[in-house]
Amino acid sequence: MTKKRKLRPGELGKYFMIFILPALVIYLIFSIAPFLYTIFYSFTDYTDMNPVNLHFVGLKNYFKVFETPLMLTAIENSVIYAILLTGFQTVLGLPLAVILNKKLKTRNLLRAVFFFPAVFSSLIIGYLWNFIMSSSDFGLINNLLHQLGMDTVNFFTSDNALYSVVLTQIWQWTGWGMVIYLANLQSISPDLYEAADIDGATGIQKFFRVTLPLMCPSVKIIVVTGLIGGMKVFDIIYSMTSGGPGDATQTVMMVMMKKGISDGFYSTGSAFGVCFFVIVLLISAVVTKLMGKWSEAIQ
Amino acid sequence: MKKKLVSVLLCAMMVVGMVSGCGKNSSEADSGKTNEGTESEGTESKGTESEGTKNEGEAGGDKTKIRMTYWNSEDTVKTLLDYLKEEVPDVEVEFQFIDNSNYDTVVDTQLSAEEGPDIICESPASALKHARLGYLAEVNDLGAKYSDAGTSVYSYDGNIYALPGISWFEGIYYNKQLFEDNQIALPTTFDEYIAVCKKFQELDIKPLAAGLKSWEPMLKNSMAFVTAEYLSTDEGKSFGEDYRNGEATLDGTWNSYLEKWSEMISEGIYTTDMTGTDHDQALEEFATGKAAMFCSGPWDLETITSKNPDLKIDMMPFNGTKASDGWLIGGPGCGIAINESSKNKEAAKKVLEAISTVEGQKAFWQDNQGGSSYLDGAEFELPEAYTSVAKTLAAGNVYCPWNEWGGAAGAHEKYGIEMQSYLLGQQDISQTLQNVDAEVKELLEK
Repeated sequence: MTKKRKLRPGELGKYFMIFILPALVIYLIFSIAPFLYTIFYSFTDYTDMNPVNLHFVGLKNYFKVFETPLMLTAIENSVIYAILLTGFQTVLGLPLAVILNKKLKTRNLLRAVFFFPAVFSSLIIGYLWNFIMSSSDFGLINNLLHQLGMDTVNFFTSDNALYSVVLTQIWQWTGWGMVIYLANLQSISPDLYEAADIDGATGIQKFFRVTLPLMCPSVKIIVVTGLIGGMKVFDIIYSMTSGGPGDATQTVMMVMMKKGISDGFYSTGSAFGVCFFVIVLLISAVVTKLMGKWSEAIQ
Repeated sequence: MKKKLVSVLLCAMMVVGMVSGCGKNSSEADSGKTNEGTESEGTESKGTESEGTKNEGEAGGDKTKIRMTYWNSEDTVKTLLDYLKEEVPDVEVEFQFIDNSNYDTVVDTQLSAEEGPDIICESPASALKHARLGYLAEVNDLGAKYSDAGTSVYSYDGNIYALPGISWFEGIYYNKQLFEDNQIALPTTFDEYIAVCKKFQELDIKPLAAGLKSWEPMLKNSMAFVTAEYLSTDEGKSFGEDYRNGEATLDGTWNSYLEKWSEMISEGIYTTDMTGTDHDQALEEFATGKAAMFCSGPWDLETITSKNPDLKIDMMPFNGTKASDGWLIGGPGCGIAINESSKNKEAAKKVLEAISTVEGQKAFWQDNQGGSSYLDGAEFELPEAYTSVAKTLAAGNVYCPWNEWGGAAGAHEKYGIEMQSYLLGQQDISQTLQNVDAEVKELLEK
């Protein structure tokens, strides 16, 4: 019988490196290198009409980003969209998860029903809601309102369009938030609720004093991913409004595609991308900091 | 032992997979790599499979394989491709559909990497851009067979860089039955058109179905009016040229015409509600008889008639304030160009020569019925659904204003978007036009 050699501390590191290497190489090639190129192009005069002889233009492209009303509108709309969607997803998902964590007969069915919209692509959801919210005679909601003798609603005016899109996304993604919360809820020890019962806590007190503080990790996941995903929204806007009417629902990604790619202003698009990266970085940092403080306060 | 055997088997499978994945089989070489050989290889009768420019034909002869890109589906050029197969037997045209929304980006990238298609379908704006960048070969000799109206938008620096395809046009489809039943005559002026719309409103029939969720309907409708009123006159004929040279602006020139056209909004024909309706839904309203008119072109005719085979439809032109033959918005559907860096330029030219015949144009027209050819001597019968625009087409009153904007042609989308904002009351005409001018200036200075 051969005696197994004892590994020294840190000896396994080289094996880990070998396993990590393929992912690292792919990450460097497909994420880091393009990002560095984007930063480089943002300081040049790279356009579709000037694809080769690039010149350094300093901060010109960055000034242009902040002088272009369309780009500022896009940033504003993306922030509104991200905050509203994340807010509603967080607030509505939690009570839904708490209810569906109870011993209901239809619990599994209801969980599936609420999660179901998240299974579909946002493009499909967009085209579907397009018909539901249409102001033509074939629009489901307006048809119903008309049948009931009520005034019809135009969901796609410049004032309503962004909120109409947000509404569909709350419908689609609240179920996803619910599932994350459910996973967290099921990890909370029943002993804590028993102790609270012995102390005579009411249901509301138990929610705010036991459940909510212990939900911090899942809230953090939903808020951070929701905000970052919301800032990057593209597909649902593309399928529902294409940024219109006018520029009412233009978002960062829509404008980046249009200006930075279709119109051939590659360097301005790059500068816009870098600015967007900084904004997302700042938002993520602030949110992570706030959530960290909440976490510390609980402990 | 068993574990070792499994791991040896898995390793062997991985190695085989890697080797076969990295290898180049003959079918792959046949199907994709059309530009890798040299020009001489492209015309030689003997080539290896890996050179990729040759295909052994069924009869044993060699074929030069060339790639052609287009933003419309293969169905729209099916007859043409069949015709080319017979007419140019030594060339195999591999058709590649690229979705319109990505078309320019994909083709630009391929061309800048010198891996572009051999034959490129170009819009006037992209043809101008690619000609300036030296991506396109001049086709002056073949271009001479076409009318100036078709080739002028594909000309740069005295050379023709693309051959005009079958023209597209957009007018106003109308429900003949509704007009006849209510004894409403076709309008011949803009004011009469407004009166007709009001009459339908009084009858509780929606006069015009419009999917204003898209920026296109108001763009085309308003530009058709400006064309009839100004761009087609002696005063306005040079506007397109002046505009692309930065010597004119929309604001200050088009305002009065658009103020008049905005009766379409003030009279409730275009309503803010329509921004909640898309093109397909508007088409549905028209096809099911809920609306009397719908602005579109031949590409929608089949869909309309398939939704309601009993619908009797015709098309009327857009009108200005004075009676005329009317105007349609339209122009060359696509320009067919040859990639300057193509390794198979001779083969591509053969294809363009075959298209530049009456038979070639007929094959092209077959799947684009309603449009007309710019080739001298190529005339085709107009389908029944366009009887009321026959005079307009015969008069050559088909015009697309933004085709004249050169490198800023893409700003027509901005115009449509700004018109949406105008409809929704967010800005006046002057602001609308200023915003378009700003975009055009930015594009021209690129």
